[in-house]
Amino acid sequence: MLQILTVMRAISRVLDHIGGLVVLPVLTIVMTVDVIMRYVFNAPFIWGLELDVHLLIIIFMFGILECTRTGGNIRMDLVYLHMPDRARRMVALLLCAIGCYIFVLLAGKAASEIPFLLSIQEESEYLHLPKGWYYTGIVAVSVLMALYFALRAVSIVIGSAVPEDEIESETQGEM
Amino acid sequence: MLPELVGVLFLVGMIGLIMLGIPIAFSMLIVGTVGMVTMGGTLQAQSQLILNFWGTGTNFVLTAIPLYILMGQLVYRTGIASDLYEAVYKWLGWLPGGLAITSVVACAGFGAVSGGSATAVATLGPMCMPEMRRYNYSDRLAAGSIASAGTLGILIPPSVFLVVYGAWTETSVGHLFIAGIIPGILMTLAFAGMIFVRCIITPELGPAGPVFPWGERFRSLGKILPIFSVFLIVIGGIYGGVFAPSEAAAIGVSAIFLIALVMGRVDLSSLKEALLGTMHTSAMLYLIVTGGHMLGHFVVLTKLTENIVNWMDTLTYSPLTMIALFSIMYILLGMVLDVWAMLILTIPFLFPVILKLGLDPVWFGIYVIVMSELALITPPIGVNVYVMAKVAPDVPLGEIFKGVAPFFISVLLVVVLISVFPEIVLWLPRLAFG
Repeated sequence: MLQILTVMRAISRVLDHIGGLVVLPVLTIVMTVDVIMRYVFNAPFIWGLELDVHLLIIIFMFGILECTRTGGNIRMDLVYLHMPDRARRMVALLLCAIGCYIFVLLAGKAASEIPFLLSIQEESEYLHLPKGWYYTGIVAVSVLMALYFALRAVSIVIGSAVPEDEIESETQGEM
Repeated sequence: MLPELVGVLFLVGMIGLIMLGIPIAFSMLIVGTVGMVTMGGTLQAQSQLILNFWGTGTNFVLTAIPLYILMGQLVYRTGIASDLYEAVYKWLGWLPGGLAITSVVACAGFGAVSGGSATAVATLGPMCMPEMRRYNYSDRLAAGSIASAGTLGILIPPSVFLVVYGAWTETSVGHLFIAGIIPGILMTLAFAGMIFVRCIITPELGPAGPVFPWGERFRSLGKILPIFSVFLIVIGGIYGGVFAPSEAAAIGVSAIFLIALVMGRVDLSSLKEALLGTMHTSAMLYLIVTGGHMLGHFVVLTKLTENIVNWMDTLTYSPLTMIALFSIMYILLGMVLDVWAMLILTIPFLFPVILKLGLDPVWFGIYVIVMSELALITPPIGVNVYVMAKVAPDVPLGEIFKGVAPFFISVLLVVVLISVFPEIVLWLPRLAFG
């Protein structure tokens, strides 16, 4: 189980690094060059906006696992911090159940739509980015999220993890 | 069961989850999802989930979120923020309470190139606090001024809060940014003026700092040039209709990066930290925005909003009375809820009411952000106060909360001003966009 969590951590970091160190700089460069091309050369990228939003969803989706894993989601811990250990474990388990439920539903629906999207070859207008592949990415990230929450729940139940592992100050994720 | 009752029960449940310590985004997502399963079945909830995750993730307006966060991260990690503090210090440090005023102005300047609030406190706190201690400033004033001034960042454009408000309510982010300028300046002046007057009445609160020669002062202006020019490019570009707020963000990031590169302030490790830090905050906001949309759709299904608007319609209160009531509600909510939770819970209900009252959505956006500034310093959960407590661990939390009290009153005065004279907010966007 520890090994699975280690693999999960590695996957989470790789996704986070791809999003942050590759996709985010590319988004910045594309948008900046697009503006320069528009105003200086009167030749904007016709596909610019399309690429921007397709990069944006990669940034968001690739970041959510690492953000969740490292306790980056804003929470109010005023009551939580004063709870007894048993109650904290219950709250942590509740979060795991919530996370599992949401991402299983999301993965299920996205997966059910992939064959249809691929069959009609729905893709973006200029760059022909296939929506089906993006949905596949959403399924993959959702499965990872659900798996993370499930493993986390198991580790809390068997006592190898304490809920505080994931709890940090609510300012953690603040700008 | 009546749909309205389902809505109320689920919303109460959501507040319960938030209070228990479930992350705000997950509280909204689960209440929105389960609520929709209850109202329309699992398939409808699943469809809304995928539509919201996809729709939010591919919303061009939201490209501004990672980019403005990255801009702030770069300013923070390349030392440009400390340059700003040094320059302002040389100009204003000699005034009574001058070091606290410097903190306020520096936080406002930092807010002009970053989208958030707590980062300003975390960045400028370690610079401002030791200097104020060296001149025997009251801990209460010193910590209170930094914690409060940090809130300026969410009002002064660019502001991530305004981007999210714009995305939720489909209000132009460009209009919101331009509308935030005058209230932002007003708030900065209110904070600085209040410190000045208090230190004149009670000089031991904040003795004057050193007087720098004029030559040194003028030379220091070069240090604020990077921040000033980037702000000018970003906001000037939006004001002049040259580019959209999202594009302005990309230009701002590129400009800050190039300036820092020329100044020899960029190294790979700080760049990596800035990019990864941006990823975390962006992902967190993505889940919040998506959760907000899910919740919004559920609330619409329950017809709660419709009924509240209809009920409000029967009231004969004037818009000003309604604003006063909203303000009391926001102050109370700020005591028990995080800013994001407060906004998410109120905007879906108040926004239609505001439109019905004939108030401008841009004005309301600024008003809501000003009220959020209050929530950031309101006990017992004022986030900025806790960040400040980490920066100055030897100052008791209670002292910092007492220190922010006069700033709280200043913010309230600004709320009164923008409510009585909405033109303070609306004049500039109308001038720019007609």
